[in-house]
Amino acid sequence: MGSALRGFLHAPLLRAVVWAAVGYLLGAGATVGLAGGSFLDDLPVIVGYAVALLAWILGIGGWEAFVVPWFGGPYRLDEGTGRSRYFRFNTDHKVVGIQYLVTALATLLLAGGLAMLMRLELMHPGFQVFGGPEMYNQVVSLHGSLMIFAVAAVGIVGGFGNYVVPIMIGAEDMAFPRLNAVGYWFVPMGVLAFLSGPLLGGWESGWTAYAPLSDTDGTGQVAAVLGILTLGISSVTGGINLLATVHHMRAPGLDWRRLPVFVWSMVVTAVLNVAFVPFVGTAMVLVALDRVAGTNFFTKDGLPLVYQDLFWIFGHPEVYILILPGFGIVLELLPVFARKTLYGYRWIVGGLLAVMLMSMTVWDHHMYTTGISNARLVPFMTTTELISVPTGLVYLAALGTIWGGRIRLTTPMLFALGFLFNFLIGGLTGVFLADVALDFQMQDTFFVVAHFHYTIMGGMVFALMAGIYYWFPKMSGRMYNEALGKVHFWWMFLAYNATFLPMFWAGVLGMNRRVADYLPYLEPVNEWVSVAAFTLGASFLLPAVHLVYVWARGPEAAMNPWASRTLEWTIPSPPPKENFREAPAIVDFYDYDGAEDVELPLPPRPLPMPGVPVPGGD
Amino acid sequence: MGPRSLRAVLAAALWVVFTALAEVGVEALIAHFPVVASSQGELIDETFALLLRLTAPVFAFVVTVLVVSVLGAAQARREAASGPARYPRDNRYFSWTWFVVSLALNVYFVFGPGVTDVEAIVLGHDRPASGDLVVEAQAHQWGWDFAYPELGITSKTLVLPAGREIHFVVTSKDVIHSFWVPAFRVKMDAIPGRENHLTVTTTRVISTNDDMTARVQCAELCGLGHPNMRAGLEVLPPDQFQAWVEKTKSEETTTSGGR
Ligand code: HEM
Ligand SMILES: [Cu+2]
Ligand SMILES: [Cu+2]
Repeated sequence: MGSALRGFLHAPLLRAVVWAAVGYLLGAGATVGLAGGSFLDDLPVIVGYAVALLAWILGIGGWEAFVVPWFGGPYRLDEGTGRSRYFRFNTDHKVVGIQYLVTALATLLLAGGLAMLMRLELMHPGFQVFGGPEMYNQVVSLHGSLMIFAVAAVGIVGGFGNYVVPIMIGAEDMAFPRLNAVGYWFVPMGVLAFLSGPLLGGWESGWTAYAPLSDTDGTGQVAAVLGILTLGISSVTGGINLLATVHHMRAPGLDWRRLPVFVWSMVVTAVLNVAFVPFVGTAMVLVALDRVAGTNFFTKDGLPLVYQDLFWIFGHPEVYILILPGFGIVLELLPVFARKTLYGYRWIVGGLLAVMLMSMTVWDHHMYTTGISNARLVPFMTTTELISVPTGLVYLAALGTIWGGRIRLTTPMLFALGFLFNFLIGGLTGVFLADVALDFQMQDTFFVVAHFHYTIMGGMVFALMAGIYYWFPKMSGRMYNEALGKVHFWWMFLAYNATFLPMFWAGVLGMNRRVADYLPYLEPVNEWVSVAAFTLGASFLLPAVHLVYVWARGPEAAMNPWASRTLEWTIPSPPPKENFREAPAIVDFYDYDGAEDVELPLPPRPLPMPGVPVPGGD
Repeated sequence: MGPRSLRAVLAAALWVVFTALAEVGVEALIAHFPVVASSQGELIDETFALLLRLTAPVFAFVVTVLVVSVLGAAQARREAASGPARYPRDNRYFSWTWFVVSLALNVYFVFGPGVTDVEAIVLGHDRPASGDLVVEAQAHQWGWDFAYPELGITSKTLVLPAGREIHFVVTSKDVIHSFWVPAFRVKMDAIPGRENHLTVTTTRVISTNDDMTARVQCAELCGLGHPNMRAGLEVLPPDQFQAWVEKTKSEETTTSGGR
């Protein structure tokens, strides 16, 4: 064998693919050999996938990073250089952050493309695109599952959580770099698992996979189960890592009372991830057992409602997992671009912690119409309505910060303000859905669809965009084009609202969700929504081209183009591997008193917070 | 008047304007609510309207602050240029007012319309009251069967008398479905192995043929046939309902007698 070929075969990504493929065939083949049946049955798929996942992780670098050293061998992991780092097992948190971010964005485009197909189908009553309900149901399920588990739960948490948090706290990396590196590599496999669903006949139970439908669905359901479990592993390891990092790796002088709000938001998110992802894992394992072992946990003679409780005990904290990081980004950006001190730091931290705790107590608001006992209705309605109080504190802080500020309407700021507008609608309509009686009408209609897109897409995705433009110069060392950024914002913001605002009304008119077909009287509103949705979909193409281009060719960015005070702006763009060459000086990150509109660099100044020792003094 | 208090006065005025506009929009929406055909639905529409009216000022407030802050940025820059700015880290009065008002609003939402509606719509309706017309709504993949145990008849269309309290017993033969009549504004899931209960008081004569929101629609994803898992609904004047019952009874006896 030529050495070039050998070198190629040793490239970790290729090795991982080969090992995974072989692993799959071995696992599935052995199962078919022992238990009979076909390669496309549930059990061979599960066993094959489990072996493949292990082989994939070992192939990409887990072998050198874990197995060899465990058995006393030398630690010889080639992490690559330059671009090749991104295709390898790499322990640099900045590489891992970009791996997560790019994967989430690519998945966003893909799942967004699926949404375009769905809107094409829904533009008119009858079946136009998919020729029937089967394919449509699968596409809705795929769109929702990818968006929730591989975009919303991964984009900010995996992307900026990894890239920015260690720098913001003055650390040189995460607490467990190898765990971090391996955590990422579960994500592509999780996405692939979901994508293999259609090849296995698809699943049509939606992202919520309610049993007993998910017990009796086609083999594609197994793909969803495996995808959720795989991405769940990444969420839990990431959460543990983040908590350890923030707890142990803060620079001297940076105590919890001075932590940037984005870091706080990541901490509460990590707690929710670690505590609640296992619930959905349990639910998925039990569904799989129902399917392959004939157990009857959730079948029609089992306890179908218990599935819903398990799912939503996870599912409600999950929606805060999606949005809390968005709050963090927005609150981080507002003082920078309003040139004004962050308002109500303590209210924010208190609010985030209260949301974290209360999010554990509201899950049955997804089950008002299941016939749960009266003893559950009013308590869960109470907690659900009340969670808007701590959530509202985010708005208190946001409004207090921008009020009278010297606002600079840069692209990231526009997205942050757009977030405030969109999430306001998402949050206020949540108050409606929290009401038991009103939910008797709205549950499972397009009112709900509009509501959750306002929180996830109008909220989380807008915050993600704000973060991308904000940290782009730091990550790439290059500056994007401000005019193109603004066009992106206005296009997306207007098209977004034009698409999703009328969806509320479709729900009021009696349009139920997860349907490929509907009654003709609902056609006008759907036609409008579809046309707006295509405009919205097109708005994603502009930043896709723009950002890829400027990442390679854009003008060089200054170290601190926004005149921001947090630590990531005190180091070069892009930052060196070890981040800080000398111990960072901890300042009050949100003090813009008297600061010029744009002033480079900002002088450090002592902390005004009462009772907090001045840095260097302790 | 200094520029800061001027900004506050402007904002207050704008808030009033925005609130007024929002309320006009809200009233227009309320005027276009689809037809409602049950007393439970009337209550739910009232709650919907109430929440719309009460959240409109909140929405207007946030939008006002966004607009005034963005438009006032140039002025704020001039202010800062004339002397080093000192920005408040917290304003006790504003923050506590915000906190107390948002708490009060939400507590009111729960113990005002929230609890009242639960008491009216759900409480005590987990079994038929005397005088209720009992209808068993059974879901299956993919269709509905309605049975009237007291009358000894079954039907594929849901036929009901107007002005009566109807007690639905909702069940499923296979997966989870949901019994929903948009014009009644209520739904109840049909869950295998369970009996769910729902009471609806019909208030008017209505038919699917005249208004599409008067239909039985499955509202919980149940597989392939889900989108079109519907049944017709006829709410008839009591005498016509009685006539329909008699007719159906005689038809059912002839068909079963003919076997
Ligand atoms: C590009 C713009 C988007 C459009 C036009 C769109 C459209 C849709 C439509 C038509 C549905 C089906 C609703 C139903 O019948 O229940 C849907 C479902 C869903 N979407 Fe989107 N969507 C978009 C972006 C997103 C984003 C960014 C997210 C989250 C990050 C998201 C998350 C979901 C989820 C979770 C579901 C529910 C799937 C299910 O029923 O299981 N969507 N979307
Ligand atoms: Cu159904
Ligand atoms: Cu259905």
